[in-house]
Amino acid sequence: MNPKRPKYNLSDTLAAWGLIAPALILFIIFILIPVLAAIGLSFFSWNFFNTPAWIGGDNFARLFSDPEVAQSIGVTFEFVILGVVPTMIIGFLLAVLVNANMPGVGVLRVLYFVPVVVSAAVSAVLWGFLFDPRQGPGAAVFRFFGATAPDVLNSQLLATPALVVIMIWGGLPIVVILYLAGLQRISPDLYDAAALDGASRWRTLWSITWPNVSSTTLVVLVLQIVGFVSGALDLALILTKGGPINATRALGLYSYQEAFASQDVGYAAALSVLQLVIIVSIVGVVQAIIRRANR
Amino acid sequence: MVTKRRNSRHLAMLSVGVIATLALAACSSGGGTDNGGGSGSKTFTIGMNSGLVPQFEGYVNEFKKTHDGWNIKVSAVPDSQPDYIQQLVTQGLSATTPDIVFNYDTLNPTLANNNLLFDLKPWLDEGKDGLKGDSFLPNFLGQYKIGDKLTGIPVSADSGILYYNKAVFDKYGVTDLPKADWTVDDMYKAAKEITDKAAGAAYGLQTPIGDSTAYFTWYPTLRAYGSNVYDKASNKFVFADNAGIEAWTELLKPYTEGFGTPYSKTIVPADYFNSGQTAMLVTARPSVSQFRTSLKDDWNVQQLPTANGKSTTGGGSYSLSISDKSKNKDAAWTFMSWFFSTDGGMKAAEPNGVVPATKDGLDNGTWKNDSNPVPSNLIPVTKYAVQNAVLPDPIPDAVQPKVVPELTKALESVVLNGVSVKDAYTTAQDNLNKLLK
Repeated sequence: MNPKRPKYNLSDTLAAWGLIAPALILFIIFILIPVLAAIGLSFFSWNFFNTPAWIGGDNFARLFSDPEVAQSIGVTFEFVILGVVPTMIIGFLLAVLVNANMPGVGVLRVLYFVPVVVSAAVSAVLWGFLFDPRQGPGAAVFRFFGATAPDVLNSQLLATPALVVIMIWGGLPIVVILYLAGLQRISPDLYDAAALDGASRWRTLWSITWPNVSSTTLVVLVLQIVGFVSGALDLALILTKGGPINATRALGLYSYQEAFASQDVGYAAALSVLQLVIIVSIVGVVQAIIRRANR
Repeated sequence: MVTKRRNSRHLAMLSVGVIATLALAACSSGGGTDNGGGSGSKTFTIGMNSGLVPQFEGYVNEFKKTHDGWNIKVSAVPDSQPDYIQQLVTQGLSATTPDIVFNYDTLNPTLANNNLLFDLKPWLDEGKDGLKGDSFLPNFLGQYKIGDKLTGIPVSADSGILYYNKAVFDKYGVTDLPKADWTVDDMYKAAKEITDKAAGAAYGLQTPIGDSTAYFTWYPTLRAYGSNVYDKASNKFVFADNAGIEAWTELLKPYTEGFGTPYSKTIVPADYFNSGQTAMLVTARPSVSQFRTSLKDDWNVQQLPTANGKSTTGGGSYSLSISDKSKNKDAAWTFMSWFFSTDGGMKAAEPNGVVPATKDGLDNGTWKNDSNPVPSNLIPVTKYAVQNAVLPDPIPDAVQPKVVPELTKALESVVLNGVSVKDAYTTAQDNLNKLLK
């Protein structure tokens, strides 16, 4: 039997719409319309200046014949694979530390938030200096041992991991905050019971804390996947310009370069749509796997 | 009675609507370039590269000393080309494009072919307000010719020169300082000697080609060997022909033979020279003013060496253009006529390292009276560089943005992956030729 649909009076309905209206309006203006515009633009040829010309699915057909698309997708997955899990693990452990009442934790509570107040451009310059093989502090350490520091950002092998390190650093605060919120919802009774049963700290962490933040983990996982698929743009643009030899050019940066360097807006929009499809697909698969695991 | 009242209400509403429409129209035009100007207007706007805004504000102040009642606004435009194009698009949509538009040689085809720029040729041909086309240096003015149109006037004859730090030469016991008759081989030989003796503490040469972004660092060498980037007659990219491969091989030697600064996309080229870590640097002439304040060592400049007996001096320029949609074209032109005169704007611009791209400015400009003792070779070297600068031919607009990325990829393939020069540049050439219609 279907549950009876609750009845709302007009004033409740109006109040509800009034409350969601600000967020809804912002969502429509800044998310929905740009997404629809991007989908629409992907069917046109446009260089910003001329009148857009309808070309049907040509831009999407081009995606399959452009070898740089496959390479950019590969780089995008590289960012996701290298970055998502370490960010979650480090973020979770940091949140546990911040949540604990151990000596010196006050300093940690301030420091973990630092990346949020530093802009992407400033952090890129800062990390660029740290990775500098000639003048950076890392180079000094290598020199001390009589070795030459690797030129990380100009290495096809090391540039992507280097950017991932910066992205993990930049992504940690939000992960820590989310896990902190999750940790504070866990009943202290569970820890008391575990202590009475003689569970070690690691056992408590693994068997009590980790399962009880699983809903937070799902949110963090989705946010991190989205972040690593799309967030490599600004750092790569400033530090490596997508190089060397496109080693750090993920789909987002490729789309940006096609739009604003090559003025091929329609094709750039098609690349954005592809990126959207990839994000939605990954998130959908992850959610399906977790739902099945929770059954 | 009711009908009469309804009609009155309709009339009132219509009036409110008309007033509101007029008010909105007034508001929108107030923020735009149309100030009701046209011929006789003394109001216009200049959109200028952010680094040049203080200079242009100074020029405007100078202009106002001799031109009463003018209202001129200088606003900054983004430095990077993608950001600048975004801004031009949004300004175009909101009818706020500046009357005088900041432009430069490699951007000009894009702006001109999309009808953003006003054709200045008729006014230059008739010598309107005393500004004539034949008074400009043809190689620099020619960069702004698109078909029969001329869409920009070069501000400064910027060309590449060789900067050298004598203290670094002395420190490593290399006595052969750059000379006017040097060949590229001479430059490389001195650089190698310094790099070897410095054993990692310094480099003989800041590798001129960098990541291929700056045409002036490689284009003249390509021409000196008998190649070119693009051949208009055959509508093909040709930079990987035999002569081209020879040129690229020569250009990449500081990387491949290890006597130049190593490849990096993250280091600002002038940093090494500023900090006394390189003996020689190829860069544009306006950097003189920067090194005067930052470099304390004994340094000087020299003309760039020759390759195959030909000039390897490259150049480029930024220009002032007038927006095709400007309604203050006459006012903008009045300013430009003053700005490009030897005793007007060019005199005011001289302290900023501007060498006029006019014949009179080059021969008689105040830049020649520069009394600063550093660097002593500056005047003759500048004159040589401006007169011998080999400037790039236009490349088809649709493909132009792809050229530098392909060349950078080829360079990185050679330098980072050890791919042969022939294979790397042939691949780049093939990729570009596929894009040509």
